[in-house]
Amino acid sequence: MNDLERELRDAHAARTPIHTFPPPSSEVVRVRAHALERRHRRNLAFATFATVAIGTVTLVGVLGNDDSVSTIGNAPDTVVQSTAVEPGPSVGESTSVVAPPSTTLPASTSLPTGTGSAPSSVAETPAPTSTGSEPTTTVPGTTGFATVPLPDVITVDHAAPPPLVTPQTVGTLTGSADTTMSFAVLDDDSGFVVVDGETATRYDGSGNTGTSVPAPGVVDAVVHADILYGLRFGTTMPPTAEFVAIPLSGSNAGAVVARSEVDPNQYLELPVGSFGLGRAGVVDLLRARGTTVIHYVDERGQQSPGIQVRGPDVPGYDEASGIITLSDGRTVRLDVRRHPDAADPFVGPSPMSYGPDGELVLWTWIGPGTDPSGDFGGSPTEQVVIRIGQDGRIDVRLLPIGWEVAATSPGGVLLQRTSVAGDGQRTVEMAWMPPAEWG
Amino acid sequence: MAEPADATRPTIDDVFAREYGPLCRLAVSLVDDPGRAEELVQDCFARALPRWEQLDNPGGYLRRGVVNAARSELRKRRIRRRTPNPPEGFAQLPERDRQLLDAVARLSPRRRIAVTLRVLEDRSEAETAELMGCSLGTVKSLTSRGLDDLRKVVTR
Repeated sequence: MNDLERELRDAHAARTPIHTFPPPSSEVVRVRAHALERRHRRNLAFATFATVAIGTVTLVGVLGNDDSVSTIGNAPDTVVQSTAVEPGPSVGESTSVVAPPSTTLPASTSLPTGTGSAPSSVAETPAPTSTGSEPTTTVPGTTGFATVPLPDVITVDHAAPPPLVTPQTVGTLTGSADTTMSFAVLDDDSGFVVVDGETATRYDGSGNTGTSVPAPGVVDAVVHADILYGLRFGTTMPPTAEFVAIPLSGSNAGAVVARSEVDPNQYLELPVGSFGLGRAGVVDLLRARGTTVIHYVDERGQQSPGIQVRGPDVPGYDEASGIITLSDGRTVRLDVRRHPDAADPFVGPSPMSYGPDGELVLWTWIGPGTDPSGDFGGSPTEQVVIRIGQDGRIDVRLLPIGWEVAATSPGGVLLQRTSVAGDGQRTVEMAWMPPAEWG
Repeated sequence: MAEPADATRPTIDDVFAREYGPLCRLAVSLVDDPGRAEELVQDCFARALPRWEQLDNPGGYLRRGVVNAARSELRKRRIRRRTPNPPEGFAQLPERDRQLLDAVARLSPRRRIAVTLRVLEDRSEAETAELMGCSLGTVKSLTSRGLDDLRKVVTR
């Protein structure tokens, strides 16, 4: 033991007597356990209520063909009031289309992939097809679906990795590594949006470039009904943050038509998939779970009707216990056995999200970190995507090396693989997660 | 018919009375804040309660739970970019001890946990690896690099 170690031990020993912890009554354990149990039961009850409500509304819709059943009025626990603002200067489609400054998606780029079997050109690549033609955020015109038995445990083991999936490649983005880049999947199956801190550019499901609108400062976004809801931070002191609603098309394309202030400290350093589409608006899936951070609005900034979600706004997943709760109240435990030197992602794990057809989608890493002795073990590797269908069917897939989930929504699960060249040029391969092969 | 309870098995009340103090001291050496440390420990007991009968080694389960909870706590603090607070009870310590403990509090979370368990608490490499859920090599490396970091900032 050297001098430093001895000094450290002495300092620790000197501090130890300062803190005495006489044990309180062990009843405190039962009180806390009871509180945890109540929280779990509340989540279960909400999931069951939501299922019953959806089933009832669907049945009424089928029998009565009544337009009034198009939304469900379940108010989320907490709602941040969003404010409609006067649209800025009209940005018509013909004049507002701004060429993306640093991102381009060549329409015929041949794409090297980790799998060797991806389509060779963008034009040949289909958009995700797992959902059929119906918008997946609405309840279909059926009265229910059959369920399959759930296992007690879903085991994801690095020592026995799940089958490799072949991403359906759509194209390659290039740009400077200095620019931020985030992604959002359009919830109507029509493609995705790339946000680079200055603009939001729409691509169709095959990677063909569409319109581009200004989105200055937006660092994270989701899209519903052609409105982009983006998180951005202010540049003044004290720090501020807000969600803004920006139409992607129409006469107000590119204008901020509504905004909602949020706590800036709450939303620093977010992992992918931190926000989802709730009934009444965009919901926080991670930090203030279930909070509606901005209401849905139309292209004029007027609050628009909610949407239907097949289950609670926030999918039922407790990271600490690994318990996943389906929308019908059934539970299954996720047991992830990572490599001994697995790394923690710096921003923490992503929450569970909804995918196509009401699937629950969760992703995690099981491989060794790139620098096991460094901060957080370096970067995590070997991402696994777990999908659970509404009926309880389960699909677990390993992504090829370097691929990660970029965004997910009822419109699909978007993947990306980033590489940075020595000259600072960043290349981002984009791909869709293929439909689940239910086991 | 329910099986009779194992008379030799310690109850959660026994373990709570015996381990509460040591676990809180372990937690406070990792997160500094005595109040938060007690919360983490109580939560670990609460999570253990429903599965108490299935635990082969309740003490080990609880210690590992405390280390995991402390790691999450440190990660959240880091994400919020908070400057580490001066460890509690600082004012009563000599200047040199304050300097050393402050330097430990500023290490990255994994290095801090490794240094705390391995050096400050004098736990074996095997036990530290078990508590951190990583390999012996990782413990050695994290501890070594943590001590290197400390040497750079601690004046003699």
